[in-house]
Amino acid sequence: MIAACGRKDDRVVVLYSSVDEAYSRPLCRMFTERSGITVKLVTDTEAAKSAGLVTRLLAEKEKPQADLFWSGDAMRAVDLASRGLAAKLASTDPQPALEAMRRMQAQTGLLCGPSRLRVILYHKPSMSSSEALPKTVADLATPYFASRACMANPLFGTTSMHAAALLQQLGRDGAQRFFEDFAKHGGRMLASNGEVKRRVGSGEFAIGLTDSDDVNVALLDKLPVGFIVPDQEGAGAVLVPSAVMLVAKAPHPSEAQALAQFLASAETAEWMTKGSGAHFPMHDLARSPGSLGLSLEKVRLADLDDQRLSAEFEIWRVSFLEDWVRKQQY
Amino acid sequence: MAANHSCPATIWKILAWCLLGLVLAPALTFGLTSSVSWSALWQQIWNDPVIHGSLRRSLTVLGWTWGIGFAMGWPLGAALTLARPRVRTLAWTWLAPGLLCPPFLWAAGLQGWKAVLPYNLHSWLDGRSGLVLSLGLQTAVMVAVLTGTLAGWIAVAEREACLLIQGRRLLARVALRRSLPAALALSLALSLLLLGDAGAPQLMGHHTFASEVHIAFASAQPERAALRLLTACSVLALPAIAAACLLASVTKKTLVIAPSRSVAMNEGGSLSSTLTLIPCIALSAIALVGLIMPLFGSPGASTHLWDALTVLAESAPVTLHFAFTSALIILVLAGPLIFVASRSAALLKCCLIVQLLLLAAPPQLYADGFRQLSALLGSTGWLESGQAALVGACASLRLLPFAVIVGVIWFNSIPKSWTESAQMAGVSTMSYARHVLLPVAWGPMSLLALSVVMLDLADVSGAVLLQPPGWSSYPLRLFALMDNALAAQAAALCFIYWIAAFTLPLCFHVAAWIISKIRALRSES
Repeated sequence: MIAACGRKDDRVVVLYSSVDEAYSRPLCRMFTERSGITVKLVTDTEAAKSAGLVTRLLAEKEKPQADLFWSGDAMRAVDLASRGLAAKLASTDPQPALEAMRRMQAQTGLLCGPSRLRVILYHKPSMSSSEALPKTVADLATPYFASRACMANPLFGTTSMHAAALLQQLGRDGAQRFFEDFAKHGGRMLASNGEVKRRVGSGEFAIGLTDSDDVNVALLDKLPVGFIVPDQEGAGAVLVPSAVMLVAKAPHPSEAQALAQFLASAETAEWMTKGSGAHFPMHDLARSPGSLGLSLEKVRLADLDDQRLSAEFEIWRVSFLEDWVRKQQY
Repeated sequence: MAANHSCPATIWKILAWCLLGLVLAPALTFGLTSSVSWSALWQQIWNDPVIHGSLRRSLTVLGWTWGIGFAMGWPLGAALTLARPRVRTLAWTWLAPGLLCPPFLWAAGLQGWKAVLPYNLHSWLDGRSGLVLSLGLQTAVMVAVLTGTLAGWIAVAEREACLLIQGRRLLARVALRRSLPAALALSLALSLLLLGDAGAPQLMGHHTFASEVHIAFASAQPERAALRLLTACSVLALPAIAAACLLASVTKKTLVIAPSRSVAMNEGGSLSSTLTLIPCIALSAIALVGLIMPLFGSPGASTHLWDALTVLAESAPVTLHFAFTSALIILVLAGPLIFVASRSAALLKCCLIVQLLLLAAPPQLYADGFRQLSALLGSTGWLESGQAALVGACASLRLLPFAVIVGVIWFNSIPKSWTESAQMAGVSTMSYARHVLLPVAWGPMSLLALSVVMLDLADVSGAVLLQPPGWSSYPLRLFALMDNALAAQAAALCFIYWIAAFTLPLCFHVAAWIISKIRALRSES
């Protein structure tokens, strides 16, 4: 129990990652094999994605342990950057294909990584062929669909970014009405996107709001599900990019820069399109990841102001969303 | 009781409170630095209907879990006290995964049965009934292990007398009666322990205060989290105090122990052994089969199993580091606490009340308390092995009540004639402890340490908050991977974990057998 004297090892980098461990750990291993720099990884649980690590980063603000934060949803990283916890990262080559991502990189000093799409998953046997499928996220709050619908906790992870997107698209009243109607008409809140995938896959719910990588896993598991990209005739589907942030006062800044370049590189993006990852690469919109049969160039994406997202969401979270979540639990 | 009357009672009290202070330090730090006002806390307890709902649910789950855990664990534990050593070893090995596996794994295992059960039974595996079933079954396993291993032993002479008078029925009744107080008290304490877990309620969709605290912590709202925690502690104090009083009364009863070697049952033969083993295997298998079902028939099963073994190999050093740190802390702290708490009933009651109050609180209390303590001491730039030790310390301090409870029960069961003989012969306390107590104690204490270590490894909540970079134990890796992995991958990880859980007690029994052989050889020579 006696703490040994810590050796200062320069060939080390500490990464806090809310990107799923199934992807982040093999990537760290690949980086170590190439560069000889050991990566010390800290991940979080699915039910507390991003938010748990943010708490930790804020607690360690004066004396950070982490060198890099790889956030599965860019909103968290942007929020930390606005609080002064980020240092500027050198940009990568190639640059993201989407102008919104390039703008975010330039303004925040973060790097955009592979992304996920927010989609509606549905249980095929529960939806007859003649039955209309929901076309928009707002449809989930209607009495017809809500009683058979589920979503993950909107305080965490990609669902929180989606909630923030709804706030920006619908305004405060519209977003509140959506959540209230969803609950009023029988919609259910689950712990995580993974649980949404499982319960829709088993037929317990007919539809659920989740991420494209969870859809890919469901398809690989041969679950009887299909998916819809919502709001294609309206505001557009919400894209959730991952973001790499260099922590201010990082103990190993040069190693952190090297790892950041690797995580935001085309090679990493290509790796994450395969297997169960199925993340969309930001430099090649024509690429169709995993078993999804879908590429971003064919999808209408929501036009969001990433800089305002987290600030507006924070206010709304405290004034409305937390109470809403607590009521759903009971 | 070994009594050293040369030290005044005040010194023992001071020592007891110093030790308790050490145990309380992280929790006190949390409470004092959390910037929660007493009026806000009072408001929340009395006025917030959502809090009322969460605590009502929590207490309901506690009651049911206690009931199921006691009803199933008590007879099984009593049966284990009568079983032959070999049968007991086998039963313990089968039940051990119940200690090692976190509640969320049990919940996941139970839900795995949905794939094969008719749809009208699915509601039993979900919501409140699913949560109560999952926690209740796990509590039953723990009660059976702890009660069967360390309580309710019957001396040879008493056993023979029972068999002569009324045969095995009387023996069974005596075993049940002997183990009743310990089973009752331990099942309540274990239910309190499991209630602090946030994973199983979230999985089952029946939220208790633990999941609310978890969410408050995770959503970067430390004040709210603190308020929730302190509110929960205030309400759960009642069952915790009840458990403490019950446990204190249990330790007063003298449980006769066979000091020389375990008492072997030679009657009954294979049928009674089978009847003892079947429930043990069934209890353990319920969750295990549910977890590994997706592996059956999966085309990539061997690859997933190999990957899971790789994860185990990578995380084994860290997992063992956490485990041995916690075992060391338990032994170092529990020993003096047991010795001091045995001095008087009042001291023991105070000890148990304090510790069970901490047990009732979610693990985040300790974890965040440690973090605050480290910030206060100016050591946020952690040395890794020190911080890793904190993970073990966090869990082991919380589990200290079990060590103290069982230790005091055992300590009070030492025949008074031994201590009186030692006093008459003028033998010092140290010498008495070393030459008399230690040889008798090492077996039960090492089993106890192993049990607590296994419970410790299953604690994920504290480890998530405290883990140093690059230090992920197998349960943490499993928890992080499960939600997003392919079903067969998750099943493979769970299967390997269960196999590892069997291995630990097997290694322990092998080590114990080797040591006993060495001793036998030494005594012959």
